Amino acid sequence: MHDVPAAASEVRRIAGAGLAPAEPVTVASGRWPIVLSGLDFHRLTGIALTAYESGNLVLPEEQVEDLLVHHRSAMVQALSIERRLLRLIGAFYAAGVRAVVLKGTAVAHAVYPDPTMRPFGDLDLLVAASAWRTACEVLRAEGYRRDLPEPRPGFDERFGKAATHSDAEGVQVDLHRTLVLGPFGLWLDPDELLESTETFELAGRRIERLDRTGLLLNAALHAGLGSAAPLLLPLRDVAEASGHPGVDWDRLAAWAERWRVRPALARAFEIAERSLAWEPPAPAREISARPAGRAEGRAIRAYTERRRVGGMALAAMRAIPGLRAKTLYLYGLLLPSREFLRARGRPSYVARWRVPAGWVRRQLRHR
Amino acid sequence: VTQAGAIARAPSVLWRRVGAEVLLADPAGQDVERLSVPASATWLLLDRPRPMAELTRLLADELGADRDEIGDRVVALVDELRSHGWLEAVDAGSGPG
Repeated sequence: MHDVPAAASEVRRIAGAGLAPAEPVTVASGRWPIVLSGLDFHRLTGIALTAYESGNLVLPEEQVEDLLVHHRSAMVQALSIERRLLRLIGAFYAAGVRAVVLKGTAVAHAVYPDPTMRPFGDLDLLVAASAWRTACEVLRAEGYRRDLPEPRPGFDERFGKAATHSDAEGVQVDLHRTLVLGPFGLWLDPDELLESTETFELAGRRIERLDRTGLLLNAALHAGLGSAAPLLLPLRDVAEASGHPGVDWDRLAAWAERWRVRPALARAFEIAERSLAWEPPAPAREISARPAGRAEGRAIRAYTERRRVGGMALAAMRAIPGLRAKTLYLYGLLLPSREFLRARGRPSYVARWRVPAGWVRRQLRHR
Repeated sequence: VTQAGAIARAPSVLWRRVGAEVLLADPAGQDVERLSVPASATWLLLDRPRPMAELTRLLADELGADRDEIGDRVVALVDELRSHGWLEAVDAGSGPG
């Protein structure tokens, strides 16, 4: 067990390999199984293989073979997801829905030097709120089932971040209305993001994705807000996207200000720097250096400190403009449909209300 | 492939490099094909359409073999990849495959 911290440190060094000049990483043979499982967990087999090929990771032949086996499996999965993407893009097009590829699939093709470096396990697509219903219908017609129903009709388009749909083999498509859950996702303007797109080629077809500025925003929000302890691959995405010459830093800074996402970007840059021993570029430091407003500071704490004590829902409610919209949001949370309750394993409203009652109790205890 | 022609990757194929090997997937199919090392080297060298003679020369360099000795095997390999639809014959002046 005492090897686990050393193995974790080696996994982190591999995650940052090639970003800055450093001594090649070597892995003690006794720690290799733990390191390999760490590389799998963080989806870093492509980064590790590239590091090995460029001399930034030194491995004996048998460990290279292990790595190839694991990475082959990750790439078979990526290809199977791209197959689904091609099919779905055709179906969306036929239905008149514009779907823009986000996250893993997009950064693999647009940000990394070689898409083999960046495995992905699901598909993320952004659609305009006005196309949301049709997009859900297209997914249903293509054999995808929505994992959770929406709390109330219309909730998704107004307040939702994304809805996960799964096919018969369990492959997930996250249909996004915005980039992130909670206040930051409500403050940003997805329609403006949809005006900033480019394409990448996949099997001879042009597929629409966010442009590289949008992809950096997407990667940073995911890394900075997705979970309390982000995986290393999203942090590597932030570093790779930040280093791409296609990023318009002035536009990113303007978005950060206008959409109030600056503290989220700062958090992503800071964690990536600390975890990967990576030096953020000067414009990233400039964005991070500006002070956060009170509302933004409170919002970031909802993701980092108070996520599990109802902080996200409260912060989202604060971010929703207007009393009527706030009421609708609260109504959706407190009186969701029976179908939603059943899917969440809370068959009654009494069981449902235990959740906010628990929040209130905890809030009172915190004071 | 005529003297004026070239060999190119079929544009409608999904693929990934894993070390020295290449995985190919037909978008309409179910399986993922794992190419042999020489077939993978052929695929990777076809980052743009190349005439057979040039492909043979590059492969010989890549595999450390004599180009006269491997010529027939390269033709057989290319024919096999073409029969699966992974490669195709194009005009020598065609753009990247």
